[in-house]
Amino acid sequence: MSCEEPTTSPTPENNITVVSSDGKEFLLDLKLTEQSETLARLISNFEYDRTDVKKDPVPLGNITSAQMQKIIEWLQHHRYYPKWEQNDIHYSTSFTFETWVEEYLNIPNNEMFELLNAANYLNIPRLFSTICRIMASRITGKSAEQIRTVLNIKTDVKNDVYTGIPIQEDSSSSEDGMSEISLSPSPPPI
Amino acid sequence: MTRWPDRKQESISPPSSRIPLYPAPSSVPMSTTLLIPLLRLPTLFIRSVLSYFDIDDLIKLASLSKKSCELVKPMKVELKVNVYGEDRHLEIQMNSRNTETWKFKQGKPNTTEITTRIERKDKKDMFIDKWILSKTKSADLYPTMAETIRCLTEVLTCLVFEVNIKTNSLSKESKIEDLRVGECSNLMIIGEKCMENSELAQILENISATELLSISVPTNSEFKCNPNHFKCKILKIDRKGGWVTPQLLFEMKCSRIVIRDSHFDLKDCISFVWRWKLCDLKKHEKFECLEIQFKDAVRNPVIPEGLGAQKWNKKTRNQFYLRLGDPVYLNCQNGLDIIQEDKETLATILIHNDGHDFFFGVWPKRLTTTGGIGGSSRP
Repeated sequence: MSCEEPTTSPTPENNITVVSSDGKEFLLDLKLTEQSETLARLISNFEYDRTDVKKDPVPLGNITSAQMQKIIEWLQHHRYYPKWEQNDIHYSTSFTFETWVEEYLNIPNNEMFELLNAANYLNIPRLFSTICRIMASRITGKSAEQIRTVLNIKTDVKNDVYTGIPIQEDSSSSEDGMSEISLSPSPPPI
Repeated sequence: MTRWPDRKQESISPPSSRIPLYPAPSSVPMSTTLLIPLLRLPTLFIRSVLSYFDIDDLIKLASLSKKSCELVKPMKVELKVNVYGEDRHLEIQMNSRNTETWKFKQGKPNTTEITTRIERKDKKDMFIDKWILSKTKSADLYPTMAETIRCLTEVLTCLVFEVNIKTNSLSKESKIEDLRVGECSNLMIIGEKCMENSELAQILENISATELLSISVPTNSEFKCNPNHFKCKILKIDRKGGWVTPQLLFEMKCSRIVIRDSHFDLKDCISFVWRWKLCDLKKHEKFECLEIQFKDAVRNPVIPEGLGAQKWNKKTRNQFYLRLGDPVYLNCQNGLDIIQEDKETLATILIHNDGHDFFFGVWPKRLTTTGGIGGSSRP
């Protein structure tokens, strides 16, 4: 799906400023914030959609500037898309993605997980759902052995009660030397 | 469904200049593997990803480790079991959106080769086949189906939502109890030919419906059944069932009973009403309403005086009755009200649809001295 973007120039009245965890400021069109339930609720509560209200910068302590840049890119692309419907089958089950989405999410897994966390924090359901779907598409359809490899699950001595094949033990402990995913980045230095 | 092509995984690998955050085990070269440490994400995220998996992949994942098994378990799945002669299949619905149909192909009899397989339109080799093959050597359908249901109900949080059985199709060798579906929400029995007593008894004794039991097949009048098997909320009998008597109906534990194409006449219906009026209501608390379609229309109904039936009084109850599982309100303006022996509970008799339909419904709230009786508000 693609939408034609009408040409509108943002004015100071219809913008808010958000501040990432590393202190970088971003000017965000109010129209874009409609896709984020967190920001939309905040704007509604503080009445930032009114021109006579002073708009203080909104600190987003859980989101880095790189993530924010990426999210703004997503919001701008989906600016004129219809409102997200949770139970819309078109969005929920298909493993077919727009070319733009494929390119947008052509990023390392750790960045994708952090983007997923940011999408969850800002409550952007279309982005959250798309990342989950793209991750699922990279796992489903593979054999059990391939899934074991992809998810990095080690072999256990026990046999599976259902299949008789060996049960695998998760390798999620720190012993395997894998670095942790930073889902909550540390606050910016003061 | 279009699968994400495997070659894409190569293209999204981190550039070689990056330090790999998730190094592959020494046995697996990094260049050929893309690691996704999914199980280290918060549970909310994992469940969201898993919600896009199909059922076979979920079973596959559950088999890999204890942790992955625990993660897969809460994925709610509804099962619909259909037994229509040779065509026996499971309909599986996950999270109210992904519906899959698994068909069971009959294996060759008198061979040790296991040929009973699950077939799915877009997938030839299914992981769950391995599980079934390890459990049953039978080429018959029921053991295969039963093992599949057992696997699904044990590995995932499964609810057998509906069982559809077409009668006259059950072979004598395979008994319905072999399906091992002890309980389901809705049990639908359909068929054209008169059902054998043993077949009906086999189904009712082995599968208990909690919400709806629909018997839409002609049955023998000699059929005898323990009324305790009827505990569902709604019972519907759509074909001639001579074995259903007013006494049997009254002993059933159903909330709403609907009988179409019945042999009942007004006398039978009044007999039921008498039983209700004189009974100990504590033993029949669940009962809400009885609906019977007469074979011949009742033109001038006569209600015995002893019942104390009275015309509708606006102060005692509402005009409309809302039946369980039916969104349509029933206008009880012309109904006759009866007060139970406890002097508190009010019920209404209504003969409507030009004398073709009989309705007897108990109002949910009890009579009080100050206000009227409850029931449904005007739609």
